[in-house]
Amino acid sequence: MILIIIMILSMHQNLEEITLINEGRLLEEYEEIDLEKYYPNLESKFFGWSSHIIQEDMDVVFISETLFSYSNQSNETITYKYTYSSDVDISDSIAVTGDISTSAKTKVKIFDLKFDSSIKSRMDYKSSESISEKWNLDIDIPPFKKISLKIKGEGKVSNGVSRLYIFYIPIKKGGWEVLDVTKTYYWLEEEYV
Amino acid sequence: MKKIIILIGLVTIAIFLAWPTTKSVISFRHTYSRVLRDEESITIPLMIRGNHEIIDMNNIQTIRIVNDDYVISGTLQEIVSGDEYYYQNDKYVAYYFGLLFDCFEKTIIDNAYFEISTDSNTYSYLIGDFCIAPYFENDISVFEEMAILNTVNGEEKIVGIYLGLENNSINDINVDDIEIISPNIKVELNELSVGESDISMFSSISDYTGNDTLKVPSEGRVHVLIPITYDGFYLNRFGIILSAGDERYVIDDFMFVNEGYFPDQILSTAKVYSID
Repeated sequence: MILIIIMILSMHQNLEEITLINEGRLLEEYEEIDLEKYYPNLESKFFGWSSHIIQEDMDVVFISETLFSYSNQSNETITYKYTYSSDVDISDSIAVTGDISTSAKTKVKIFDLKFDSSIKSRMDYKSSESISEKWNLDIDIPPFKKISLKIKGEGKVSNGVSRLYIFYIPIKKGGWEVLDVTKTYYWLEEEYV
Repeated sequence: MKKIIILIGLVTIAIFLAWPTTKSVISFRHTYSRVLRDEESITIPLMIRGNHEIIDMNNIQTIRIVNDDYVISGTLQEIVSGDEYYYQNDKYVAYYFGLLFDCFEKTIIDNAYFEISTDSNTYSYLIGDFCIAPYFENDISVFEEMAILNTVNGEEKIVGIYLGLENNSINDINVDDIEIISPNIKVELNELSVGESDISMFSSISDYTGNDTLKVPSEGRVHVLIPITYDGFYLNRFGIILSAGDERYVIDDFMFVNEGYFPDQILSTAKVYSID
């Protein structure tokens, strides 16, 4: 099997980088003109969103935002007490283009998708794993050093296009991409201030 | 006629009230490995079906972790209800029991049961291996930490730990033993790889392991890759104890991988307890 690794800055607001493991394209790699060719696949509706999935459940790894980063600018080692909260962790994520809008927050349950409910249902099915382990860490930070707790993760990405119809008239259109997070890894890293 | 309707209604209500409601609990085998600091709790998840008395904190008198040889008593801090799950077409609700323990020494209870006593009943649920150790200040601190994940027999597993260690004392520390706080996880002590700095989370561990001893120089730093072996146990979080002669250096438990409380590996260990 040919391993194709594509590394690009992510459109997902809470991710720094997404790497596609196998063949495929992320939403970032589509120009609007690329997406145009998929719109004819959409079924026009009297009212509501019509969607077409371009690629489904592509395996990805990602680097998310830093969970915390704490600098010590003093001459003495200090201890930072960190309490893990799943609220700040990466959960499922969505990216959109064009006219599609979403109140893009990191937790699936409070996503307020304003488009096709079939896309929304794709995001809801993982929400049952929303409770994460409790975790307390006391971390010694040497003088003039910065300690960061970072996240890598694995997940599956699906993307496609949608169009909103009112009285069979297309009003809005755009591309979307859903990341279904399956696993997260943490690592502690020291950096210079 | 009216009396007959009332009678039928009363009989229906009586039958409904007397009808045995099925209650059941599912527990999971896990490896609990925690280094406890003050007021640090441990959460044990159970899936519960029906209106079981243990979901109300007011009903619970005592909680213990037990096996044939050991017993430790704890304090119930909280019960948090979570999402609904389906197991063999039956709906369960996840409950997370937050427990506090007074921990003065390393305690390992393998094949442990979570024992919950109410006024009239005692329930025991198999939860796996329960390992705790107290934290105490020591001369070694950790400045880097991550798991090495390799695919073994098609399954991604933690095969090693990569640590950055700093010696805050004026004496060299020659580590002669490294213990993962769990009965089932062994460190390949003669396969340490010391001084590596180009390791990533998904590096192949076989590229690095060699034969070395671990010396953390006085007021100095060192990186070490510690290979671990285990069989058949899900592992995502654990504490470590380094030994140098009679000295012990406890490293706080670190959550290397997070898949929530019910990853696939855990679901396959489900043990169902039906209650009449």
